[in-house]
Amino acid sequence: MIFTGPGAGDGASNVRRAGTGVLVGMAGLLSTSCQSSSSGEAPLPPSPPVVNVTMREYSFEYDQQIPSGRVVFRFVNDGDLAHQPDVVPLAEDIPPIDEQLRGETRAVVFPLAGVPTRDPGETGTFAVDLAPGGRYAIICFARNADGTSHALEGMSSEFRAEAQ
Amino acid sequence: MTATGVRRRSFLRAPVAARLVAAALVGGGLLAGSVASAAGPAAPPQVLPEVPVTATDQRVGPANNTPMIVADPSEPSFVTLANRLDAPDFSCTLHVSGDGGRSWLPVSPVPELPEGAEKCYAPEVAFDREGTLYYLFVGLAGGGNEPMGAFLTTSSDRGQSFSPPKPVLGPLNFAVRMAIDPEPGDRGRLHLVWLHATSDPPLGAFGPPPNPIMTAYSDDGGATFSAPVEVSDPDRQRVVAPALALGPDRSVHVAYYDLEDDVIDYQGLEGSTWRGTWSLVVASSFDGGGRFGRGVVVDDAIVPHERVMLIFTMPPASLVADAEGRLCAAWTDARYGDADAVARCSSDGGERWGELRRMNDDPQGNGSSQYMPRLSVSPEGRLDAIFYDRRDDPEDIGNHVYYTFSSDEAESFASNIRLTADGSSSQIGQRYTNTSAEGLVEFGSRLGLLSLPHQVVAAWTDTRNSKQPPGQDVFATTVVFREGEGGIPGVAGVVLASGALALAGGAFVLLGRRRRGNRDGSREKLQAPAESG
Repeated sequence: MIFTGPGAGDGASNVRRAGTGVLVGMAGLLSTSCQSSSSGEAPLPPSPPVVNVTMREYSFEYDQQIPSGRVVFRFVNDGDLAHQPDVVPLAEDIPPIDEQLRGETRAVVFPLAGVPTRDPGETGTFAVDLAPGGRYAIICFARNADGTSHALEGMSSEFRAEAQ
Repeated sequence: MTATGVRRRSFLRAPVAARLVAAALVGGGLLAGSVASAAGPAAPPQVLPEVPVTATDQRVGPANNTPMIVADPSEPSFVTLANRLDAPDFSCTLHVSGDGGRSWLPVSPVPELPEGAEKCYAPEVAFDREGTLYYLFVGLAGGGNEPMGAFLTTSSDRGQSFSPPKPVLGPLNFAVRMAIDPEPGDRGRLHLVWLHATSDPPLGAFGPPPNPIMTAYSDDGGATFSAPVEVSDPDRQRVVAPALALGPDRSVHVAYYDLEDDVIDYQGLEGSTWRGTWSLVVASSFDGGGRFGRGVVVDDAIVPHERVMLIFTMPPASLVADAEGRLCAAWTDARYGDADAVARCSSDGGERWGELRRMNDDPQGNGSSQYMPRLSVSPEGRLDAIFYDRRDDPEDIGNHVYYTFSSDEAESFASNIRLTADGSSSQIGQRYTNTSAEGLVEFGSRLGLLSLPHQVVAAWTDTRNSKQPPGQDVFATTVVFREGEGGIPGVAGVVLASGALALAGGAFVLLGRRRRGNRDGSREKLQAPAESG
């Protein structure tokens, strides 16, 4: 056993691998060359799309045309209260998020990503890989001192990532 | 480790123009004063907003760490970042940037694993002078994640496609590092250094010595390699964690730790932090890696700050070489009572090493940890350094990343500047069941640092957005210098200095989120030289 990390199986086992530490790839052992041409012709990679989300009491403002694939979310708290936004994947059979939040039936959902509580003026960012055509919600999980849920006050929003 | 092919100037000797300024200050009298005045007070560098490199998915908690950044010498705007993934399974990633590291997209360097490999692990990345990207990784296999070989794949189209991975090392080779000297031959010389286990390692440990550190090189882009050469001194029994740096005139330098009598860490035994000392050794070759001289001890009084969590992934010292053959090494050292990021430099190619410099500027022995320093040297000759730093958390758990630099032959370092707006809990990450890892959390084996003209790109393991272990992201930021700071002379200053010289030459969640004003305050302090040593 070399590592006992993820996928390492039973950490108590002691799997041995037969063989020796023979080096390969020494002179003459490999005959196939790697690629050698210059990369000068290839275009530089673009920047990933950025979704700028402005948070206020009680709304998220952003352009809902969001591509699939790698997307960077940037949240800015432009309000007077602290906010805590998460992006949550929604299964197709879940009711619209506002209806779901106010309904009596609770569906279990797991956030894809979020930022810690952001005070007024603060920002937060993360990158995610959105599934083509995937359905998502942005939900604020912050509560006011009186227990008022920001989500129920209106800080929930749905978007669908564009198909490729 | 210096793996970029960008030629570097000296960080130990100020650039020529800067030396002219210095000469004018010494010999120019009042004129010298006018030079300084004309150049104006040095403004602090600008820290750009942090950006995420890796994607978050809190449903699976991917643990990204151990970033390595290199730039394409043929197009410095093209920057790549390779990193290790420790969860949900061992893997490796690669991200590319077309804007000098200010935004990142993923690419797939290993769409299909080579035969026999079940996982990709511990990637390294380098460019040759033509801009061909080399991506090296270790293949893991079996229930114990044994290293079954190291593989090399290349891309000639900026990461859009990669060649099939080719084996370059066999099984039981650990801590494989890669760097490319752009000068020799048609394609430059690709160097590898690794630790070779001579017997099957038991759980979380190396078997009986010798398990030497080896090198080999390739002059044909990794198709064939020279016969391996043993780098570590045969009489050093417990050598680990190699680092590789390439200097001018085909010089090759390999740093490694000699754990000396520390069998606790070498064999992954139960026990507390080793109370003895380790040595840091650098072996050098001046014929392109054909022969290495006996190792020179950089420091023989290194005090470990904690257990080595897993000997196979032990963070190496950071080693850099400049274009004039000068070297600097940095490591974590607890000799002053807590973990510090320290460095020593050599001005003669590694034969003799200078005084110990403490790069973090918090009060000595205050119980705050600074660790895993990473060095890089800019084309202008500025020595850059970053490290994890817990000075902002009284509990010594929350990490920030701090930056400093030296423009005076590493005699002093600038006041430290914090790069991270949000802290990261060092308790979020992968945990291992090995005896040596008890109570410890894997936070990776290095930080990423790339020195470009007038700017620095830094990358680190970040858990600010993690709600539960082991989720770790890699974040990055850019520090931008303007002319006249960080060892970069302003044009007016150069012109005036030349004139003066001529005249004289007749002569948390972390643990405490921080508001933006704090960062600004840190920046304002940057220019004052730090205490060192």
